[in-house]
Amino acid sequence: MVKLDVSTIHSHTEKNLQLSELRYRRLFETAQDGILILNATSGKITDANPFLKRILGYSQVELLGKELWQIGVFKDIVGSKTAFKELQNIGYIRYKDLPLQRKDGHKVDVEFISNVYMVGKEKVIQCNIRNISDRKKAENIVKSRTQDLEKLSKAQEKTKRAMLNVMEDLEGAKAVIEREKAKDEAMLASIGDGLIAVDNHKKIIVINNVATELLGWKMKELVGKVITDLPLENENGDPLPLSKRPTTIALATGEITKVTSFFVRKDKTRFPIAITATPIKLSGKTIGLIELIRDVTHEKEVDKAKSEFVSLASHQLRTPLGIMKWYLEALGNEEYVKKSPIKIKKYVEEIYNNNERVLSLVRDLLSVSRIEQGQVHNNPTRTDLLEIITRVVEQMQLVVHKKKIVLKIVPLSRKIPLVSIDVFRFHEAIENLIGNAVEYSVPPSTVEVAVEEKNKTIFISIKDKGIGISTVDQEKIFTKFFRSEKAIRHNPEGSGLGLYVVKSYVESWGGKITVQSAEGKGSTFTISLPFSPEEHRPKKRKK
Amino acid sequence: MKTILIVEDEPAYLKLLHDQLVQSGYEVIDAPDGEEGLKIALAKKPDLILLDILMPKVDGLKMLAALRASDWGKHVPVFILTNVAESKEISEGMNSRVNRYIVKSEMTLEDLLSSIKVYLK
Repeated sequence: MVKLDVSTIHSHTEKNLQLSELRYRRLFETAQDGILILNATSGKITDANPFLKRILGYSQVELLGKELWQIGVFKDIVGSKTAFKELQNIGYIRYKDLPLQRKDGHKVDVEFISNVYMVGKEKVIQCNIRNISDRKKAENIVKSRTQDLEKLSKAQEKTKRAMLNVMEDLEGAKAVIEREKAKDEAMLASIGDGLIAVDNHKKIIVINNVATELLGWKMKELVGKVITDLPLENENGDPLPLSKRPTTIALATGEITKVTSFFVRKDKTRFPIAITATPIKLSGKTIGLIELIRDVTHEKEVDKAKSEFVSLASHQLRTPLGIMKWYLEALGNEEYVKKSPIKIKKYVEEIYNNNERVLSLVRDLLSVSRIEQGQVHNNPTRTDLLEIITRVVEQMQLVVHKKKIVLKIVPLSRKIPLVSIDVFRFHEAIENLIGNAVEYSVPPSTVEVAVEEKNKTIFISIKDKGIGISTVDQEKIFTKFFRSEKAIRHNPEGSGLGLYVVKSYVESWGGKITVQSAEGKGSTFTISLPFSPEEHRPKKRKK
Repeated sequence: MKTILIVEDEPAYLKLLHDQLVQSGYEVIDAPDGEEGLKIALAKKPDLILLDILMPKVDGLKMLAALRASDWGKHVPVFILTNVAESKEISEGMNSRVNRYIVKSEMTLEDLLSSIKVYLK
């Protein structure tokens, strides 16, 4: 049995201990972490390794014997004290990332680990402090890079989404356009009229099937062609001059232009064509035309039938009415009737008056038909208007005199220039106006007809002192079939066509008719007829 | 006694005018159309011709043109008596120098008779 030498063992242990102490010290001095030794009870710093001093920038003297929060390393003093108490209790604390303040005021990020352990009988706290600033910096860089990347990818995402949206919108727009195009094409195809779109160089851009069928050309033959190269003729078969073609007029004036003429097809057949050329305007500038074309053969036939009917009605109706008129007049003048009781005479008179009513209605209807067929200005001759007016006034004197009304002419201008006018229609218009003036006068009264030339215009006014026309009615009296309440009460027999006829005539001569009136005081109707200077020639003497 | 020729295809008009003119003291000759009318006019040389326009065979305006083309007919007074109030006919009549253009249904018998009387005075 070997007996152990205790002192040897002891010295051995001592040696080992010194060795370990030395090793620890070396580690302590050279460690690349900051190490801080605190008194576990007081919290005061008992030792600090060089690296720590480097981290925090304080010297040994500044650190030793002081509490950590006294130095100003920790910002949160209360929190630090609490943490220290916790450390005392639990024996371990770790902060992964703790910001400390260096002596120079800069912030330094550290990982902070504290352990409590016993050295002999004494409780000691060792704090290992690792500078993680670089790591943090790197981390921050990574983080900000990541954020940048995220931003970038978000932006990309956004762009992508925007792109997708745009694509979707485009798809939508395309669908809309296609739908609109289909609609336009369907409209173009199904429209009953022929349609031709022309650019401002008169070239055909678009043409529908109705138009190609109507014109007798193929679509590909027409598109690109100058439209005025297609033949248009007048009634006599002469080519329509360029200046009278709807395309030329509409492009020049920028206004909707309607022309009826004859079109010669590719196969040389001819048909009456109605063309409406509508300018297409872009910010006020005409950039092309839409021309609607229609075969008006049927309308022409209807027109002809209508005018034939009018002449038929004119003669077939007027002849029996005219015969009755004269027979009734002759009958009234027979001694037998003259001597018969007043009742019989009244009956004959009543038949006569009503026959006159029908005649006057027929006359007005004929005038309206003529107006609607545009036949008003059909026979203009160089006319002395004053002479015609004088004739009308003379013819009416008898009737007017019977009604106790004085009818006179006031020629304000000595000479009235000759104008081109349809004598019969002018006669009818003047007769109509004077007739009205007499009709709506309250006898005894006066009707004055004034004729005057002023500023290349002839003014004819018919002035009465009759029942007058209300302001409201003045706007309506020139419309077809309108009769004012007052006029109906005064004379129930009027057709309501007279003033419409007069107005239509006057306007067809390029003139105007106006009325000035006050109820109970009378009315003045004024016709103004402008005439061109070349019409102003000296009056020829009649044979 | 003055002689008046009436050229009128409508019997009712013809009869009434005939009676009324005779009653007014004229010698009256009737013709039912323009063809007959021209023949009678040239043969009888009336003082006044009352001429309708719309008639069978030869119408009034054609008869008038033929009349004006003849030696005797150049200056004979002619009243057109018609119900045609269209400008075309009126101006044609005027060109053939008619003395009056009367729309029958627009004039009273009394006015017609007095204007004839004035004319033949």
